[in-house]
Amino acid sequence: MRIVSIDAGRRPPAALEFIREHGATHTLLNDPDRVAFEAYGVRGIPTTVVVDQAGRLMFRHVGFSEGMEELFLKEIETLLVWGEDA
Amino acid sequence: MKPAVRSPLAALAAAAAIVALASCSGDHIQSRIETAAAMADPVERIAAVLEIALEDPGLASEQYELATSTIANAAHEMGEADAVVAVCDSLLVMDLPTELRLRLMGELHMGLVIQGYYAEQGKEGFLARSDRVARDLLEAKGSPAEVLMQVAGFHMYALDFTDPVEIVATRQHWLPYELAARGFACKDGPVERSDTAVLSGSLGAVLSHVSEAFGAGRAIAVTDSLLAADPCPTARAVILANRYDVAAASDPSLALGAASDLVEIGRRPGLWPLLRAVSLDILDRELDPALALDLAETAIDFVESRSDSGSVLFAVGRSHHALGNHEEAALALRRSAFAEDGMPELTDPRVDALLTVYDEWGRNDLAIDVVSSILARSLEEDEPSLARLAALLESEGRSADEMPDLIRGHRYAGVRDAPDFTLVDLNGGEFALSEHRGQVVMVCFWGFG
Repeated sequence: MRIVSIDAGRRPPAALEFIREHGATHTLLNDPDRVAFEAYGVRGIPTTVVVDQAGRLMFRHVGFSEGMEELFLKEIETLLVWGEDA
Repeated sequence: MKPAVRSPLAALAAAAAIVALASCSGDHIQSRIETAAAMADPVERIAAVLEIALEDPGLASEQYELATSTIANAAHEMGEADAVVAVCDSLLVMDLPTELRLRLMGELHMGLVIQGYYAEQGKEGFLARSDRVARDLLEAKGSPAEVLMQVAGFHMYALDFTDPVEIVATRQHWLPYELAARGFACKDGPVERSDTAVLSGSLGAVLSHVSEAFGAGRAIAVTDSLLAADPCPTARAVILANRYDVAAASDPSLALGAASDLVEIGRRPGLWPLLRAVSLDILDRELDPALALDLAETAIDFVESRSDSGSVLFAVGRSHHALGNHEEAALALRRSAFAEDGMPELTDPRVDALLTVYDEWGRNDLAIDVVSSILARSLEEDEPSLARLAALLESEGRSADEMPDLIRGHRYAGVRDAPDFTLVDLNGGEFALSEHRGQVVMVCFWGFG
């Protein structure tokens, strides 16, 4: 599986410095023209979507609260299992 | 613990020396501002942007907006709200171009409100100061519309947390509405949902105070005088929606009159959330489903996203249901329930309303499809939903043994393909979603920039 994060607009220098200082093990993408933001209808942040192996948009969440990491994990595990069924 | 604030005055004095020695590049103003905005050191960034603004006092509004946001963001990096206030205070004693001054006053106001929020003592002092800044902006000539709207929104917030107990319609409580109304009146370009939200929210706050202190009749009288002042159509619609709100419990007939006027005047961008809210309230009070339907169908023409249309379709569906139009109700409620990506829960009011309609309509075969789809995407064993599906199958003369195959067959029902995108990563490499078929991909949209 892959984890990707996307921010829109122009990235301020402080953000890049922060990312480099703290390190990141996932893929960080920049969407300066908000093409992906518009395509996914993102209105609130964070918006998280989970795409399955066939490119289907299976789960979507807006916002983040305690315990959601477990939900994301469960969704990913479920899709991995369903992918084997297919 | 908040970070220590670098002395802004001392830092700016040093930066001014740098600026004095810098040669004028002769580049286009916009690209100069963007170049300055990309500087790593926040103090140098502020100084560079200030140099450009002082050199050419005739910048375009968008350039002043960019200059202001660059200064505010840089100040925020230096020390959050404390530094924003200190930097704005330092700059506002200078002889600045008018629009830059007004925009920096907007940032100062926001900084004061945030300081007040975090202050453990003396919140009234921050409110008093932010009140003065807000009034200066209201009375100033040329205050940009978006600054007035921003200040209106933040001032509502400030009044909320500093004065939660006082329920008196003082002039102080009117200030957010005055700011928002002025911003509205001088705004160029299309009205956005956020604009009407600030205007309606600020008016609603005042009317709520008046209602609690003096009764609904007085609040209704306030809306009378606002309507008599001949506001622009969009502002009139906002006033009518609030008039409905204050009158609905005490004078339903008057409330419905306001709602009826809202149908015609509400055919404008940015107003659909108000029409939707009034429609749903009419349905909740079981007053006039035909009017509720008119409001909802007017709203649907102006929604901006699938999620928004889903929320309005809920009002459309409920209206049709109340009118006994089962087929139309089912169509609207189904579109509403499945408007967003991901699957709704069985307890979602839209799903609940849909299943009720199917039952009354005698179409539990369709209800079986819906419940099967929801179960197909559940991550946990959902006993209540399984029981519901079993009951629906039984009502149709079918066996619960069908459930596993039914659920599995609905796993991908209503799911759309994830839109492809190709974007650049930190190292300049490209990432295309479509090249990752065969993998589960989690995408997090985290920053608007």
